[in-house]
Amino acid sequence: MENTSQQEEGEKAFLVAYDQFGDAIFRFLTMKIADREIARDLTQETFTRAWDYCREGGVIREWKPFLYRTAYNLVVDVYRKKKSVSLDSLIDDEGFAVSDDGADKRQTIVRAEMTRVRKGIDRLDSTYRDIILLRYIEDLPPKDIARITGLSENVVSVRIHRGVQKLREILGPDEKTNL
Amino acid sequence: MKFSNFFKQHDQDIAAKMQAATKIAMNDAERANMRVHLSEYTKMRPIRAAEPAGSVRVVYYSVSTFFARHSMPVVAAVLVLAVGGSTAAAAESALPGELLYSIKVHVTEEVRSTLATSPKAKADWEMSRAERRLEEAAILALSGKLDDETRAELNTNLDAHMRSAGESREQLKDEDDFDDASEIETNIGAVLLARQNILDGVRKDASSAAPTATSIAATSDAASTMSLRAVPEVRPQMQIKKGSDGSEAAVRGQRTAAKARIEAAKKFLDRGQNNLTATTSARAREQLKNATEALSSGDTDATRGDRAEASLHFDSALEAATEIETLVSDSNDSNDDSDDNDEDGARDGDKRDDGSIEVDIVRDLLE
Repeated sequence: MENTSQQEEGEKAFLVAYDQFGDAIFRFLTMKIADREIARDLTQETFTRAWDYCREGGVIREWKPFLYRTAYNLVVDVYRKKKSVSLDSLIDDEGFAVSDDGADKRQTIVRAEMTRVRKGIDRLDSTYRDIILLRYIEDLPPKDIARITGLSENVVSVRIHRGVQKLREILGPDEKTNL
Repeated sequence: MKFSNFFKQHDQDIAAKMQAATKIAMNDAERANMRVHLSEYTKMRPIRAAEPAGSVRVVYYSVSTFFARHSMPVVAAVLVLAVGGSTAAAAESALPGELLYSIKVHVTEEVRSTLATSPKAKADWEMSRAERRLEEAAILALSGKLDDETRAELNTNLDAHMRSAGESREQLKDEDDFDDASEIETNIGAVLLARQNILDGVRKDASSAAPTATSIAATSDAASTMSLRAVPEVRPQMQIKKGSDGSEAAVRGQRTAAKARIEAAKKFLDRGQNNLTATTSARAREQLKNATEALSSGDTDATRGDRAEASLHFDSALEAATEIETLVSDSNDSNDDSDDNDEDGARDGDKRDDGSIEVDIVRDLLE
């Protein structure tokens, strides 16, 4: 009886985590491997591995860093794609939606700036790119990024700082448009 | 907002801007479909509970009889309902020769195959299953239980996994997905190389023993024809090293073998029933640490695309992991000798008790 209750609670927490982080893990994996179908399979694998951990008696207190770390390891373990991934071509080519609020003109400007940001991220060295993506797109604190990547928290913080500096350099001086 | 000020804003502004620029999500159908799969998965593999030995035994024998009369897919479909989650859970860590091993290989793993939604996913799972077989072989080797019969059983299962992955590869080719097909080819090549290291031992002529992904891809039943059998004179890791042609498959083969041996060593050392002396156990754990670190470094190199450096690290990992087997084997031999001495008289036994650590240290130094 006790185990039934544990099972039910475990299932509930697991599915809540999926509802909450499924899309984020999918996005993270898609940007890492540039293949939507495989990213979807690996997203599922990330969650099944998380469940396997639970069923073996593991306790996940913070799902978000745990899932990202699992997904990160999965990419290293299962799918080591060598070619670099262009966020801009990935998002444009595959028809992912970009923010579409506002009037047409404003939307066009927003799209142009979004493209500019994506291209800027693309040009970042991989040393900084993963860290910047995890920090600003996946919204993970340096401490969690350190756990996911196996780097020290200090190194992560330094790379965030330098990565942002480099991104600013890449994006260049003032843009002529206002957002 | 001006871009010169873009990164001077608060973190939240930066995050919002970058998130807007990288908006990627599953569609509703994909999201819902995955949720259903995951929900089924949690029910199929429930949280572990202590399993009474009696019930395990009953289920095993009924399954054995059923296997003899039905095809595996039918067995899988029926038993997922009949076996029950707790038995399937208990089977997950079973090794060849144990009661629940058939359930692990022919039920829980088969059912999981049905959850793979694409040919690529199916092939990846079959490769994972192949790696499981290698890991089982490595655990048995550490325990001194890898006999010819078990070796043959594991080889048969490995062949089946690779044939299945080969079928998925052909399917992908039919769909003009040559990238994924090529990836699977490489993985099959890697598993074959790892099998030579762990299951098949070493051929005398190592240079002719290294199959390439291309040669493996040449025939649909290549997996069975590539099987190379044991010739134990040469240390296993040397074979892969010599056989490594620097290709993707060769490097991955090194990694696959190292990983299987590392995982096996972890499980073996954590079981606590390995009869190792404290010194041997400590040395084995030190080697395990070295192997794990080398594997991790190799992964980092591989991610960077530095295949040559990755190969060196994977080779180090394999060497360290293989050394654990040597340590364990020597320790068991030593224990056997010690037992023999004990039979001769209590005095020798007393000596061993007093000086076991010292003896181990001397032996370790001599190695």
